[in-house]
Amino acid sequence: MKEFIEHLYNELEFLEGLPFIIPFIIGSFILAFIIINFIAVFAGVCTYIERKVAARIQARVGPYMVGPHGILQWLADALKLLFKEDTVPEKADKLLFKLAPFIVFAGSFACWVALPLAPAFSPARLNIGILYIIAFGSSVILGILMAGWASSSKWALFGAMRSAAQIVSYEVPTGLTILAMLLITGTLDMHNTIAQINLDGTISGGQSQGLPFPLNYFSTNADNFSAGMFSWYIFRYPPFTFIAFIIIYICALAETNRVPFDIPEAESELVSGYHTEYSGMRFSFFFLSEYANMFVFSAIITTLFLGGWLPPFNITGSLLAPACGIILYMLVKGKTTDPANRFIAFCTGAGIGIFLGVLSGDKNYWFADYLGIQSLRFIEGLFWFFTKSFGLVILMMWLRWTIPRYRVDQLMELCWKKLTPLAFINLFCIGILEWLYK
Amino acid sequence: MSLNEILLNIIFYALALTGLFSSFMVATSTNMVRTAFSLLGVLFSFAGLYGLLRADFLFAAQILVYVGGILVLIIFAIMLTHKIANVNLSNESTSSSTVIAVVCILFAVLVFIALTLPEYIKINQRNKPLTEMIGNNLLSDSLLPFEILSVLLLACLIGAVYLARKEVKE
Repeated sequence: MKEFIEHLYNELEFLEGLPFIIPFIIGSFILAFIIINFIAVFAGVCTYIERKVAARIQARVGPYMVGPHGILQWLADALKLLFKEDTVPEKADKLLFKLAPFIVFAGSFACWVALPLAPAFSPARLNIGILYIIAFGSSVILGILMAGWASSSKWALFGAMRSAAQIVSYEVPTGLTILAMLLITGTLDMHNTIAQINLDGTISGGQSQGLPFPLNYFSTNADNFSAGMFSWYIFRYPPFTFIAFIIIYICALAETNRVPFDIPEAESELVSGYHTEYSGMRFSFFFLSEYANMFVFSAIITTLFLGGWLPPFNITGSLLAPACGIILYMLVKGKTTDPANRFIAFCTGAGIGIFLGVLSGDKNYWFADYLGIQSLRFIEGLFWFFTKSFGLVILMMWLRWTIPRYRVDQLMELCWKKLTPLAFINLFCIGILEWLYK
Repeated sequence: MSLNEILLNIIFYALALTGLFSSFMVATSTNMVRTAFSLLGVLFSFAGLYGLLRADFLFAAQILVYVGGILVLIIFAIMLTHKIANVNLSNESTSSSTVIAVVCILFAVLVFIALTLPEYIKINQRNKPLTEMIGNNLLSDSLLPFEILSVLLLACLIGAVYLARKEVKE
């Protein structure tokens, strides 16, 4: 961000004589404005997609009346929320009740500062990026507790207590898994985590110097090839990095209070948990923060595991992946009618295509490089980052409508008796591998 | 004074005032829950001051440990207490004049220290990231104290679990 504004500052002539700090502050405000509006629109669109996904899974149509295929439904919902009466319960602690939604939202909004959105562009390049995100993510708990207490309703209080206990507990396996990944990345800087990945799969400046099974050994052009998606951290030490990915994804579901871990909002027991008493605009702030949090967690996972803004395949791979996918899809099509099987077949084919692309030793990685326009990299990076993160968000929605809710004791057992020991073992194994292959 | 310094000063005073106001609320509020939530303001403003001094690791650790951990535990403890919102003070033996005297003495000591410091800490002087230095130091020069501390914390944890656990009687 700072580099970007510095660049503009040096380019634009009419800014000359103005101290740098003024365009910097204005630029920061503009960016904050863009992000806050992005969150609002993102949450709105997410509600529409979620309802459509749910309808699809339950063999319904879903929202259909507002706009073609109900595509403007989220705008109607937002307008309704804006115009609704803002009620405050009579016995509530008025100050805390009014403050709580903003603290929850500020906590999840602050995390966006450190996200590496595109090459050479994140809102702020923090040296302690991931630590900062974990720290501010944990401050959401306080807002939730505040809301639950101030509502002076037992449902809200129960929901808040459950939510806080859940988030605090699941921070343990999350932290351990992130620690394991930090052993590999060797940096807390979110931007550097991605920027240090070289095209051939090695890491410059980090801890890891090579894959345990170097792919370039198979490639026809070993000097100058791009590993594609195999340079991502998730493929660094299989199967341990896969396990880490699954652990952190489960934890992300629990920390954002999503089904199957939506016990704080379990409508069959608690009406709707800590935001039972909220309505109108204040309720929508909780809503925004939930979706913003989902995106932040997906973005962290994207950065640590799925290579952030890096494209998943080189140019050969991008041609072979859809081709192989379609061929396998056609082969399977006659034999099964289950769309899930067809989807799996397509994905397997695409994977084979990507692998073949890697083996071909193609050095072209970015379409921007292929076309020879460097500035396109920014847009391409943005595209890949948001595609990956959004894919993870959609997966969360998919899980929500597929898996039933856990009980409180099952949730705690899963965290403390299964995920935490697993995360410890995983950390140990990754540490040893890192020590061996350093 | 350049614009940068003016801005830093504004941020500093805003943070300091927030911290002062919240700590005043912590001390004077009779509602225990509000007291706990006022502590949030104190902790955040201190984290902000660390950030202003470019102590990035301290900044994150302050929020992570105090806001995300200790404050949540305090609030849990408060919420698990019976009828905490309107508590009857049973112990009022300490006279307010003693308290005021102690506070005045402490304040005088603080002012003395602040005035006799050889020079004010200059903000913006150091650009080297702290986290790396702290990490290297913890695992090289001060490894032994670090390990002793972690063993001590582990012992505390086991002790707490032992105290809290209910023995199942046959």
